[in-house]
Amino acid sequence: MAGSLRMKYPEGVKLIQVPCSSRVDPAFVIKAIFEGADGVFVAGCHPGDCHFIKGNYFTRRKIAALKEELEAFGMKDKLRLFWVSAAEARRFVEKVTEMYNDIKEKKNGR
Amino acid sequence: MVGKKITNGQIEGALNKLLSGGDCLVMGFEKDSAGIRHRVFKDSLGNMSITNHIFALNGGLYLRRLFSKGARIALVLRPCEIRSYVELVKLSQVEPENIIAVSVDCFGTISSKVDGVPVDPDADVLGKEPDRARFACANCRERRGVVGDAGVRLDVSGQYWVLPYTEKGGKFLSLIEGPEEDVTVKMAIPPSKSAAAFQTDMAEFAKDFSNCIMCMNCRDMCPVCYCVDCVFNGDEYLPKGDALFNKIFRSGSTDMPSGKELFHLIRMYHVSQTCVGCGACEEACPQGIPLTKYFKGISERLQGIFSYMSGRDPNEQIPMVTFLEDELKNAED
Repeated sequence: MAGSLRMKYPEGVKLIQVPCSSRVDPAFVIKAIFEGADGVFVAGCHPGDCHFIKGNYFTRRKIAALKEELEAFGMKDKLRLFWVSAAEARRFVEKVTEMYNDIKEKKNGR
Repeated sequence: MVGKKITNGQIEGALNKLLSGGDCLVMGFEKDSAGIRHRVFKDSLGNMSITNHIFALNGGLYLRRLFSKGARIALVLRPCEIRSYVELVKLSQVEPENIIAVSVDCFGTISSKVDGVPVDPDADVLGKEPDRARFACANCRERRGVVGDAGVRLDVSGQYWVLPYTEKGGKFLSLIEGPEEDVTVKMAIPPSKSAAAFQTDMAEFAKDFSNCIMCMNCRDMCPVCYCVDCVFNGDEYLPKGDALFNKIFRSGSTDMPSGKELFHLIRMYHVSQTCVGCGACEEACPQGIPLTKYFKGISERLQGIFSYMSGRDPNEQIPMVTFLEDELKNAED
């Protein structure tokens, strides 16, 4: 949607499409982090709006638990969860740019 | 709650009654001069011991692999083993209909790797020699025999009791002779204290796991890590080929075998809601990595979010397969 609106988001963002946010196995997130990603942005539809009826409620539990695990290892800032549906291009670009800039600042600040 | 006082040999008598039917097996511990280990009994109990102070592996491991539908079996095991059985029931890995699970009060265990362990199954490890107890036992969440269908518990005066928790447990109780009494006495083992939230960092993690050789014994010996087709079978999930090559070019160097932090963190997440903290992974590790510290700490932390405790209650659902509409309001960043 962001593409068809000709909106720009940072070049360093690599999109991985999944049919539903609950398809995101926390293993994917951990793998991404250890294969070199500086951050992982999980976008799901708003709770209650799931096309598959209850997918994002599971996402919420899974990602909350994963955040707790990453926090125990001091890596909480690497993962963010946002309720951004496929139709909310503007919000997606805004959030992803914000996260991108945060990470960039932290990396350059060191 | 009602229960029955038991004297020496009464449990064995009840189990012998089960065995004499011919269609029921008993899984418990057998002791001899060489040590104590798991054993499944068919005709007679032999040298059965209801307690065991040596931990080699978690008996829950056998349940999902050995027994097909219809085998009637009574389990007389430690609380951590019965808890893993309860978790496997929730995960549809075990048919609970034909199984009577009896948990026995546990006084702590010594690692089977330690030399010179005396063969006295009733040894009070945590009470008398806490230095020799395993890390997992010293930090155990549930040493009381309060899980499963029935429990064998010791009260403060040294008297053993059998307490039923379910209908099946009631049937087991009826096999024991003697009158039913109200249980008013205090039990010897108090509820465990809850530990502080586990906190570590990647540097400490890397140091502890630097000796990992990725043999995956921890996964194979875990009673609740049950997937037949694990994501780590083969090297599909681990960095390899171009991905590994690029990773080395990007980061300058990498330790081998590559992907061990990936393996352990992903496994830690996957078993987090079902981990019973028995320490079987650490027991199986040939490199002596303190796995229990991490797996137990993370699992307690992650179960804490959902106020869940693995193996506590068979009617409780595993948090990952259920949800509440109105919860985790601050999940979004």
